[in-house]
Amino acid sequence: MSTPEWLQLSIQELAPRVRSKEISPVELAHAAIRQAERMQPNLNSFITLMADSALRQARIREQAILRGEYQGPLDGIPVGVKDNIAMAGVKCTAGSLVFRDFVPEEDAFAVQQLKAAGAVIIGKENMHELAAGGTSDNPHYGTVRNPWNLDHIPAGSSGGAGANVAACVTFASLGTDIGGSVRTPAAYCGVVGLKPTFGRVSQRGMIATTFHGDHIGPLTRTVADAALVLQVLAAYDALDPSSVPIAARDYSRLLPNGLEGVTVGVPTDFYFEDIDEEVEKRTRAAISQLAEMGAEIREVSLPTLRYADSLQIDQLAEDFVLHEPWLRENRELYTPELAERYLSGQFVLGRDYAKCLRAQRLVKEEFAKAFQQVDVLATPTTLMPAPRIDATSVSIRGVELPVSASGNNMLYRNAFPSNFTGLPSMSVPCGFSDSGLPLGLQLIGRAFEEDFLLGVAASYEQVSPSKGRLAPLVDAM
Amino acid sequence: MIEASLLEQMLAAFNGIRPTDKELKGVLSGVELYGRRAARLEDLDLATVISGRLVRALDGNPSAIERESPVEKSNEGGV
Repeated sequence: MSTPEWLQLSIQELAPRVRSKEISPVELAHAAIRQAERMQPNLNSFITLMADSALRQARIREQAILRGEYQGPLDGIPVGVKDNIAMAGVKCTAGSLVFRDFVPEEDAFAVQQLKAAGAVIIGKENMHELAAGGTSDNPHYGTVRNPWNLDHIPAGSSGGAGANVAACVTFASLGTDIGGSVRTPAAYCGVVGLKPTFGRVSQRGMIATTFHGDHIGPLTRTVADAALVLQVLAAYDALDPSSVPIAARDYSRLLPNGLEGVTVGVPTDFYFEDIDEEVEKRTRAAISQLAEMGAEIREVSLPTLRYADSLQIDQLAEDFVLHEPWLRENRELYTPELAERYLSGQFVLGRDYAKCLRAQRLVKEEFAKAFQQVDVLATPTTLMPAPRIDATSVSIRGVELPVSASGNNMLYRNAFPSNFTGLPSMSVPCGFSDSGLPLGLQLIGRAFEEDFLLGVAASYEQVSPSKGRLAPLVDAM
Repeated sequence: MIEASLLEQMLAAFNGIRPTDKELKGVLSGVELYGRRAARLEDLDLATVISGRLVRALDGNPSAIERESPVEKSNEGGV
């Protein structure tokens, strides 16, 4: 098998061949780095490519495996890490000039877990500036492009992660999700993205966090691979106060096991409102496939989500408080639009902040009620296919809407409720738009039941029209 | 309509960060957007959201705590 074909395998397919010494971690790292260097001019998916340290780590893992010290399915596997997750001795910019010279002294907990599992980290991935938007059109480190069509955005903020997994540069990438930043790039890049339950994966070592809505999660090419990565990440971290001391489950044990006896909820509010016709058609087709596989489909109501825009007031205030020191001293390091947005956050009244949290509580209660009737919820991950990079607006059912104006959340509207509810949510590829752009099905589950969520997702993955499809950029290599 | 002078007074009173003249228009726009979103919350009866409130289990359904875990259910042939 030629090297590029290795890169197209899933971790699940590759791991036994690494374990049996059929494939060398060093050869694998060389292949991934070559692929990264080949793709970088097209995708601009890395801020820092770590070729030397990756090869060093691959040699260490190769020697260890030869000694019989195999660490598990991620051992020797090339992965990427979003550039707002700390790695000791490696620049961590968060896609911003504010942190352009920031070199952490220690690894984020999630990175420690990856390294302990033997993963080979090949680089820090490009992202939307400060994870504050959904295009990954970064003015400081360049525009990340979508491997399915280079004229279109990969979404964000984990755009480099989505692009790298889709282009077979990495087998998995770590993203962060404060409002859909793992799931929307997964949807637009045609890969799997998992935002675990809040508290399942430590956020220690992630910069630019609000502490109560940020999550670290994997992007992978298959659901089974997402389960393998979560298995490594899901550990209690006593040094992260948001980490929850609940034992990790076996996230691979329900992959896939059919849908008999599973009830899938379809929200009648919010998630299907004002969405692109193609997106609605593909999502409803996916739900029909779930039914054909034996799932019972039941409509559920989440009425308070009609106030979705107002449920982000807390974020506005949080952003200002997070950035206040730099806004005072180094405002020129922010793009003007971002500085203005953050500065407006200082005028949020405590009264409105508290009301926002109470309204979020209402939504959480509605989700709790819904999950008495259903096992998972199925929705579109995004409102429309990936917009062009140069688009200032898109048309949805004849209405022109701005793509990324300040305060506009149309790129991540369907994803962000799971950030304040904390519920585990993932995007699974569910086919393509007429123009060949990938679309995602979002599945939302009960807290800490990622194993069940992954099981449903893996069942759907077997019948998804996206199964086995790779981005044209990969086919052309 | 929020006047720039009001923001100036708030910044002075609460040790805020003064936007430059160039930034002021964008900041005002952001504050007005926040104001519209906050006003929408007035439609909700948030007085009912109290810590002692419980989500009522649906008739005929066990509470979330009592219900059979779908994971356990999966051992009997489901996912």
